[in-house]
Amino acid sequence: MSRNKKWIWFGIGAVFSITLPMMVSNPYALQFFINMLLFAYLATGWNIIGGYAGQMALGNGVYFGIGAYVSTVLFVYENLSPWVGMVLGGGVAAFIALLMGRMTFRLSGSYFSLSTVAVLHVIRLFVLSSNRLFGYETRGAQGIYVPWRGQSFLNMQFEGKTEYYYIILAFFVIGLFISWWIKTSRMGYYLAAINTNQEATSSLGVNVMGMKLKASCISAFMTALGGSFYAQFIMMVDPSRVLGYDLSVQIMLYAAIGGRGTLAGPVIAAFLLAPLNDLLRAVFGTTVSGLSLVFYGLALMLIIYFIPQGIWPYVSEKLKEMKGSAK
Amino acid sequence: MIADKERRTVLEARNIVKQFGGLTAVNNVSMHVNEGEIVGLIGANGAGKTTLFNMIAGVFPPTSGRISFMGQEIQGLPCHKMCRLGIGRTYQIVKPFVNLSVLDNTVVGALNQCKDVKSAREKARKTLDFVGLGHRMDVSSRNLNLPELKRLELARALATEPKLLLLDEVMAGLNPTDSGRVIELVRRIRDERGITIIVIEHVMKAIMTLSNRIYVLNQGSLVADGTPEEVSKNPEVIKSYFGEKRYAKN
Amino acid sequence: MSIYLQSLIDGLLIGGVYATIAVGLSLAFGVMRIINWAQGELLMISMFISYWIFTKFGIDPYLIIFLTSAVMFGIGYLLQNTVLSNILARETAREPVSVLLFTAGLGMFLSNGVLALVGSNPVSVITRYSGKMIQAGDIYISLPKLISFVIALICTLALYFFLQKSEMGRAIRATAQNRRIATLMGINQKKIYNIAFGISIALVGLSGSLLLPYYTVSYSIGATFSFKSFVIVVLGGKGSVVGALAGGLIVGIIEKFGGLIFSDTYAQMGVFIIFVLVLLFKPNGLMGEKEM
Repeated sequence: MSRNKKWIWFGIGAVFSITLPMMVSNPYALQFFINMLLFAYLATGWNIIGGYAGQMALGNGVYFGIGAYVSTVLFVYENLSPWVGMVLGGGVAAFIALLMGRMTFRLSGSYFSLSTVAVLHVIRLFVLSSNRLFGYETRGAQGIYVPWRGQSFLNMQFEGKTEYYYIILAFFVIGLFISWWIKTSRMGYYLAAINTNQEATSSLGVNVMGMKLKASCISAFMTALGGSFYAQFIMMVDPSRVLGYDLSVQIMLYAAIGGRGTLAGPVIAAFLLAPLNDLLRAVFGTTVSGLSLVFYGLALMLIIYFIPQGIWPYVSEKLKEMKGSAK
Repeated sequence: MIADKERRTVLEARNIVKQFGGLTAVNNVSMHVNEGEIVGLIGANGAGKTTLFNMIAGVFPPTSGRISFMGQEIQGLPCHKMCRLGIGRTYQIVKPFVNLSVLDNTVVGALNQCKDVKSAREKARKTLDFVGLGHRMDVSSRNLNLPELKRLELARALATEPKLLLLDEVMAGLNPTDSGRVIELVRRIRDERGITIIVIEHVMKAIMTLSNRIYVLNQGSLVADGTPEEVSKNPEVIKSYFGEKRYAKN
Repeated sequence: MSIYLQSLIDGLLIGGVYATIAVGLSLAFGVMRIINWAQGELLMISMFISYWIFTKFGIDPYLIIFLTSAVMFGIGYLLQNTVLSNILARETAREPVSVLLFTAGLGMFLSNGVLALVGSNPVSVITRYSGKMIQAGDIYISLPKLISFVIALICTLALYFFLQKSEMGRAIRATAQNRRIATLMGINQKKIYNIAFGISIALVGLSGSLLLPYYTVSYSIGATFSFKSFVIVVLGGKGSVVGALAGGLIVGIIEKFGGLIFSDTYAQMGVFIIFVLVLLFKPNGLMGEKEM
């Protein structure tokens, strides 16, 4: 695609996404788009460690949960603005990612995958079984409700959904920019090299361990911020919502379906698949739960079997071929 | 050519020992390499050549002994630090980044000494032109043939701007025409870029014509060293090395 | 004192079944270098199959093991023969990532499929011997747990001898050590993979039937079992049957002791802590061999 064409597409996207809340008056429909953006953002975050660096993190949901809990607890009990709380939550998440990476990156890749799930399970169990965490009442499986303290930007509380839409849109744009920046910078080259051959990469002067840790921390930080936003948006946190294993797989699968290691792939897949959840709920109601995840699981299996590189690389290759034959 | 004594020592290894469990892979080897030299390292399979390379390149530390590079002790430093100091290497079995284009493969190396991606891309382009892969820049490295992959390995290592280059069997698997080209290229690397080179090679003709000096390893120990003529006359070497027909063929 | 002995025995009994599940995972990991992330979900499916057969036909769960292990062997064999083998053939990396993704998708599909079909209510069975105890002094041994343990142990040991002594077992071990050389020696790699994966899933089928008489099953138990099996494999060293057996027993005992002294949840976390400690100090497992 030529540079001009890219900017035109970008412009169309920008105008559409900014004016969207004015076109969509139904709050339910807006929630639809908020979900899409949230998952596109999360998948973009996962893609940094799982796609660019090729380290199969399967428990990224834990950082989502950490972000959600840290900002919520601080908001509810300390009256700290979620904007500050989410940065702290991101810090905690990045620290845990650093700790686990330090231990498991020395070993083969599958141990890293295992460790990410291990952290997820232990933190989920810990939160699930504790009524109090670090002196704050978290009420185990029941979770915490976020009290309404009046519409305010500082509290990240709004009566309508429009403001939430713009916040997650900003998150998404910034996340996409970070992802683009990493991909095109020194780090992007290094991560792509690490993805295929770590030994050769280190022989070219790259601190492989350091790079993987950096990627892991950035990914964890981004995911945690998404968790904080989600908690403020639905006004509650509980372990099954923000610390589930399925959520982790879901974050990962958008990137895997869309195309690991590509900038646009995770976003495209999230835009295509995330609404499925809301659609199915609209059709079947809440009587049949888990149906969207059945489809996600199936979609992941089919994609891995038929086009393992993911939708986006496949489609762009086909487009190129078509252009080539047109000439 | 400058006399040996006037040159700086680039690499000096003293009493290097490497043990894997009970097995001694490298046994008390000492060697030195002067600036601007091409030094050959020969020996049968399992003689410890690649093990020695791996220690110089920082893949693993020696069990005992010292390695100094440009006057600085470096034994036990990790790979990436060795590279940043100026030791580049290629692998016996090529390790291209198959998900990247030829240019991007080389950019990864070029970033070692470049401040930004733009200048690294520029340097990578020049390096690829230098090794004769300029016309294949935008191809995925997956689609290269073996002679091209060997050149890519060279380009990647060269792009890191090494002072010392370790070449592990860059001619293995190549036909005589292609290895002739690589010999030519290795010479140019030394002559035009002033890079000191250590080569491991099985192709005897190549190593005899390329090297200023040769070290001969046998079962982990140094059995001879000297100019190609001296080494090829050494009875120990003839017995342990040239006695085998398959090496003499080339 | 007897309360501790009681926990020890309880731990051993459940640990035997854990071991059988983990041996299957370990076998696939060792031979094919793949981690089957759907191991726990396949166990859950096998428990539901057993449950269904028991409630429909009233067949004793311990007789169902023949059926479930045969069916699951077939499923594993077919899955590898028709799907996984094609995915593996495309992979060049030493640890095939796409199989990991595929099985993660499979796990998600299975657990949520069950959720959509039968709902989230846990189910369990009551058999003739449910609640039956053998008393020895102060110690009570649950009869179904004991029977399950003995069967699990016999099957694990049988697998061990199969791998050590039989022609096929040797071929499987050879492939685990070096698939390229094994292929050169005339071993049909795909067939070996089919059988190894078949056995791996058959063990899951077996364990499902063994757990049913005393374990409640619901759609969500898969993830915890998968994770427990991973811990056991890491503990025992991948590919090692004896290691997995020991690991299973250790995890079982830790759970029961932790449950006795602290709480069940903390016991689960104790299992995780062991995982981390093993990764830190014995990354190749307690009995595993060094990586090549």
